[in-house]
Amino acid sequence: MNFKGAIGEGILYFVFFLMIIMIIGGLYGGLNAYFGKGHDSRFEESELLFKEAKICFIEEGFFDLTTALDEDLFYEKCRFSRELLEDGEHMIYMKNKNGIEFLVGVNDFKIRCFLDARKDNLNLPLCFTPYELDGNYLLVGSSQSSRRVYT
Amino acid sequence: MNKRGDTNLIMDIIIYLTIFILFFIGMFWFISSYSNRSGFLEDFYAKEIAEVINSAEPGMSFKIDITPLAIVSSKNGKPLKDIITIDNVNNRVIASSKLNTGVSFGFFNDVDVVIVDGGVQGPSGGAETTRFIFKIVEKQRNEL
Repeated sequence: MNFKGAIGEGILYFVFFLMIIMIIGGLYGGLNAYFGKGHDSRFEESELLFKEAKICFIEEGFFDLTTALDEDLFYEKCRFSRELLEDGEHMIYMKNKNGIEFLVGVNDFKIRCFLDARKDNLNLPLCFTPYELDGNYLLVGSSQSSRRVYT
Repeated sequence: MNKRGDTNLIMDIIIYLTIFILFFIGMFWFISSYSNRSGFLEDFYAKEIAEVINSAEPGMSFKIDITPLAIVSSKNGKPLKDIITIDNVNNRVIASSKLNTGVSFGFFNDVDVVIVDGGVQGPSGGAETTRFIFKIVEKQRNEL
């Protein structure tokens, strides 16, 4: 058998694979540096939205309602942006002690809020811990992430 | 002795290495141009400013230090006055450190944001100590 050049050829393969690794690593690093996961603010936003919603529901007596809450009245009294809460990335769900339910935003967040993958998957909502007080239940979630815009 | 095969092998390797080096230089240039974290800073400041707006009441004024974003923007040739803009119609904060592109994030508080004194200010004249100054006011609705 002719083994001449076998070592050199082996080294060439090593260099080749090293180059491939460096190229892939460079691509990954570059793309991650630019398009990386970024700052995850879903929980902070949910917490803030929850606090504002809770204050509004208490102040306006929505926890004491015995008839359905009108959406227009909710937006007017609570001063939330309808465009934003109905953009498919937010939810406010309330069920008061009298059994009256009220929901704005994505209905399915009631389920997605509790999926195990929610922390790693940025498309799923992070929700503030469900609030229960005197039989009232409030659940608020957000899956909003930033959008790239071209001007 | 026939060495023609050896010459071809050396030429192949030289061509291969030349192409690789050119490709690697291109890759390095591409990555280094983005490694200043401009994407991250745009995302961060859009979200932080939106959070401030969400927790604000009409009548409040804010000055937010946006120096890191301003430094990156000035390196990218973006005018300082355009790095933070507010879209009051769609309730969105837009942070941009590059020409023609940026990142937007929505705020749920139904208020208008008024930019004060031109918005972005750099008292030193450069990107250092750059601040974004704005005021929260009641929503101005266009009644038809």
